[in-house]
Amino acid sequence: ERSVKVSLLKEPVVRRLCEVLDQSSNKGWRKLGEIVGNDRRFKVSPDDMEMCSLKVLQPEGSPSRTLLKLMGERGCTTGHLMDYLQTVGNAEALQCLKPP
Amino acid sequence: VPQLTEDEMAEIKKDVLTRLRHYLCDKIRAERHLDFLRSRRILTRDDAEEISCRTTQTKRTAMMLDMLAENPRGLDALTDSIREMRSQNFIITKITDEVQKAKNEKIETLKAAASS
Repeated sequence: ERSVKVSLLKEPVVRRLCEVLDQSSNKGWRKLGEIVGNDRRFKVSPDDMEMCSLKVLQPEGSPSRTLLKLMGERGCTTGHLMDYLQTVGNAEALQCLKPP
Repeated sequence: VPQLTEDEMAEIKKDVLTRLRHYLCDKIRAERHLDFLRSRRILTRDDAEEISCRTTQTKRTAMMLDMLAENPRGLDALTDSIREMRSQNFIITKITDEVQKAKNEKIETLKAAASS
């Protein structure tokens, strides 16, 4: 459902999506953040990106989770997120959002 | 996905400091970070003096990295010190990407061990 807010995604979906985005090196969270950064609606700043990246220093820390939370707070919907993941070219991440 | 322990995380950070040694020796000037690292109690006065005694820029940074590698909070403190200066944030990107890579490799190893 494209109109569902990212902030309302179910925890197992978010967890799976974060695992995929944290573990894809060239089409992971950083690429997603750069693309969202170019979108005027949800503007992700270099400071935001740095804040996300620092999470990796904690054992359970996930840059992807922090980025998705930030996008959710700014009103991003699942539809927007799917478009971004399409641009990133991460089919596995996109699959996490498709209904089973 | 297996969860990493504090000890595994400390190993990963030590490994990242080794992997990025050449890069960091080139980009970082040790003397700019000594005061901050001392204030965080990562380095002692003796450590700082020993670093300062080295004859070249690269040798000073290399020695500082050796000392940071021995401390589980060493990499975090160096990252904070770099952020404090606000002029070399690209190094933060390099460090955090390398930590992510090392974490992913570790997770793969743990997964393989669990399934065999």
